[in-house]
Amino acid sequence: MKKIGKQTFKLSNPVSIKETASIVGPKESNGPLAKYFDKCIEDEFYGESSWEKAESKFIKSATEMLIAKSGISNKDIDFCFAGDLLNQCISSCFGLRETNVPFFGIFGACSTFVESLILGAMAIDGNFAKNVLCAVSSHFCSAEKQFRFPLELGNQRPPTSQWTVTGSGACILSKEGTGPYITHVTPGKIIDMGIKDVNNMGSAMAPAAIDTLITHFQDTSRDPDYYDGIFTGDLGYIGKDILLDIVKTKGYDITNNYNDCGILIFDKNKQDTHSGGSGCACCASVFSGYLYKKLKERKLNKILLIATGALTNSTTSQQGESIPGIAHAVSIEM
Amino acid sequence: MEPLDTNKSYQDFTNKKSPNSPILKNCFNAFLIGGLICTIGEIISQYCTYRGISLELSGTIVSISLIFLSAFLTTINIFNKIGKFAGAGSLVPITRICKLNYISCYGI
Repeated sequence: MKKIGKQTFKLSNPVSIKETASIVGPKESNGPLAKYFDKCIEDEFYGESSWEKAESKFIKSATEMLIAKSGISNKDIDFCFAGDLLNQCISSCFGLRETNVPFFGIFGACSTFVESLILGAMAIDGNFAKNVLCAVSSHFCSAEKQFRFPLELGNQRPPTSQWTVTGSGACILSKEGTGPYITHVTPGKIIDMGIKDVNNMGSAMAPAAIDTLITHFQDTSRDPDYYDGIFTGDLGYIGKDILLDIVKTKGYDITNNYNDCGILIFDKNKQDTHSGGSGCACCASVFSGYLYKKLKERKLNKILLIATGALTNSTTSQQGESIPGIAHAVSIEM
Repeated sequence: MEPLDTNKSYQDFTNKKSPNSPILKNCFNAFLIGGLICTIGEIISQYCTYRGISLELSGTIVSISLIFLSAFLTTINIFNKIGKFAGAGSLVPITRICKLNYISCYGI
């Protein structure tokens, strides 16, 4: 592995994304990407008695499905990097307690999926592992309950709010494989521009995404046209608008090949999702379901995936703190 | 000044980019539904006094009835739709107290 520029790493041997699995809840099942997901669940509770149990079951099912699809048995997986939005990453811990794989629980809010890809790719490139499991989950109901208000309170959601994706996305990274390959990784810095509104996460996270994106271009000496698609995790409509405008003033025009997973996953007009999707599973399920298949079919050959996270919790927002943002990028090529 | 130069300039920039809540529409809906909930309470109260029940007891009956009604509507997944439409209109009357109880009892 070689560090290039300020904070980008070029892998000596590109790491193959061997297999992916995605599973989503009812709202995502009625969205525009429904046909790309491996499994669509119509019950928000997923047959369980609480939202937290349901979320654990989402990540459990996704990893079981992934292991079955990939043909790699649990004992051949060296590490698992997993995380979610709930306190102490309980969905991942509970959901994966029966996998019997060395486990690292990680937190990067909604950027966790790409964070796990970066850590997994580094572990493989550094010869610490042959196969690494990366998995994340989120659930609309458990996230609303923890970060905002319980759903039964019957609150109004402002136009800037985003809809946490219910579901899970997982993938197996492997030393050998037929691609798509992770070639470069750009871990992001924490950036806080003082946004305090928990119902406007897109604005809070956009500066971090802008920083990581521009740093990636500068470090790799690539220009936006190098990529067939640049996808952010969950900036939503407002964050996308902010990012496009500011990036343009910095001399990079990405209008033609840029989109946001939070925009792709829902139909804003029909599904009442306001500014778009969010949550760990937003980026993870769109990548594992939609983008991975497009890469395999060679409809897309080079993409830059930038997952964005709002590093807040309910206590800090109640105490009037601002929301620090983070964004991690991986370059994925066929 | 560039938007990312200072926190203040960025916040001003995002304020321009973020649509506001439709306040006039929300106020009208809140007035309508909040008024409707109070009218239902008043009808129950009037009926109780008509049946010769004391004013104090009538008030209790109104509270119990409205709390029951909102708990019932929550269970069948209708109250959150009313809440979305009415906003403060469903928040201010006693129905909200029921919601807090409901949530603390069931923890969901």
